[in-house]
Amino acid sequence: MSDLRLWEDDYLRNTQYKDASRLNARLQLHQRFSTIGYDYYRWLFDLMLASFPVNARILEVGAGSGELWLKNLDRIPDQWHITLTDFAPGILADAQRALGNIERIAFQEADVQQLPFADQHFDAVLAHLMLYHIPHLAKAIKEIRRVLTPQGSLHAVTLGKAHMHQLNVLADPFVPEVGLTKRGEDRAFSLENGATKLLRRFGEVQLIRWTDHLHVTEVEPLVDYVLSMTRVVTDKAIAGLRAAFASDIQRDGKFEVLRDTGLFVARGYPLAKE
Amino acid sequence: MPRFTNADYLQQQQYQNSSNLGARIRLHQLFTVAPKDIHRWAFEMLLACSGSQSNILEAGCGRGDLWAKNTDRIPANWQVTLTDFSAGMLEDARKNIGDIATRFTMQQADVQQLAFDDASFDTVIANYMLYHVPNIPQGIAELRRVLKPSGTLHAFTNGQNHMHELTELVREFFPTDDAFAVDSAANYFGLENGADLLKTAFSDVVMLRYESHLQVTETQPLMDYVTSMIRLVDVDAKRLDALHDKIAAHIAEKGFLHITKDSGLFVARG
Repeated sequence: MSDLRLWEDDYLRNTQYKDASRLNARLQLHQRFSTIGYDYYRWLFDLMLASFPVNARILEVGAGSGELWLKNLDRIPDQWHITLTDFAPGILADAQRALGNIERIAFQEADVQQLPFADQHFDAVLAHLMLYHIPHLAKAIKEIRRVLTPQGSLHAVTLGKAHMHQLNVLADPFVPEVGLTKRGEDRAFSLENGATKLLRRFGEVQLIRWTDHLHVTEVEPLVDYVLSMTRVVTDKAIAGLRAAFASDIQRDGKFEVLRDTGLFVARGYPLAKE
Repeated sequence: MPRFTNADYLQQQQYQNSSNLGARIRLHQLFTVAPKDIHRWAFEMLLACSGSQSNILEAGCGRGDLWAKNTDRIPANWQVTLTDFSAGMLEDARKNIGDIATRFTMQQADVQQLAFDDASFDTVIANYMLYHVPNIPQGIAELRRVLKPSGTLHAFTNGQNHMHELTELVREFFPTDDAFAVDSAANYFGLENGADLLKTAFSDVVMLRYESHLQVTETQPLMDYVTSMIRLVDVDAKRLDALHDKIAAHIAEKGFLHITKDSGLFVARG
């Protein structure tokens, strides 16, 4: 594993996801410079609306700041019962502040490796860009399958190796402690290895990809994005990142970055071993 | 009977092959301003709902664009059956889809009377077609019958506002042509009344809007669209020319003609 510190529980809980500010720095970049006119969170919600029952009980693990729900406030079905969980109380509090007035959304601090819910309690579980953070991934997937009804489905979003590659390569020398490129290649749960891991607990998996490019025309959102992932912010790193991004934008009119993400839909149980 | 649901007209004239439909699809393909291709989006909704081993029926497949546009990601273990009640249309679908169609079962069929056993399919698709069916509840009941109890129906259709600017333009020149009468697709099975019709056979129905519009910058594709729908035998060439000139003048002045699209997907189960 690349930078162990970045994956420590303590770091994620108390620093990276202490509140939504670091996450927001990254969301900003995606939302302002995507070349697909369609909002990614609208698309994810389309897939949920199409595949979840109208009266679904839904659990989101690692709900973060609740962005998915905020972007779809106009169309959360009346009969859905939603439980948003995160193991970082700070970021969950941000979600609760934003969404707390909606009665059918409950909030609970929870660790996906040990969910405080009964067996077969939910029709659907969402795990958005989070399974790669989990120390015992196999345990988390087992827990998710346990709390799902037999017909229930898991929607798990993750990233591919090529995701944000151009940005990682450019930024690596300035924030070597993060190991951006290596981290992208070593994810414990990725588009490339995710299906195999899910199939140990689920009968089948479909992958639906979302691939597009960001055309970034401003330097600061790129710098903020990179800095949101490091604990070691130095003036030298900031200056170096600014100069590097600025030179590319000046040369090409934009900094182009590939986004390679996708949704796994997992259902059923594996066939019993003979 | 209005032409809209007249089976003889639809089968022997309008959909004898895919040329009329092709003229309309071409307009959408050339000038749609949409964040995502509709056939890609529709297929993603199917992927989310259907297991990797699914048995899938598309009733009224038209020229098969849903499949032709997604040949890169049709799951290997999907058994796909395409039906259309026009033999010529099915033949065009086979060509349009290409090699992968050899894997599909293709069959001429009336959705009101399908030749499949009860509970045969995991997913059934009926895109932009239920409004043509003379007995819509019977068509929906047949789709429900051939679906497994846990199966899902996907049905795209249009709403009352779909392309209303074009309807108004054409009616100015062809006030009696029922293809552009107010009494059109959405009145039979539209975004507004579709959920109620589906609830005669399904317990759960959700509707997802697909947002897009047309920005038409050339006159001829729009004229081809119009002539694909009006009764050519009755057409007064002078009126067609007048319509052409009006559209051309609008495009010359504004740079484009904006046309609303009002379209969405019903997903029904239970």
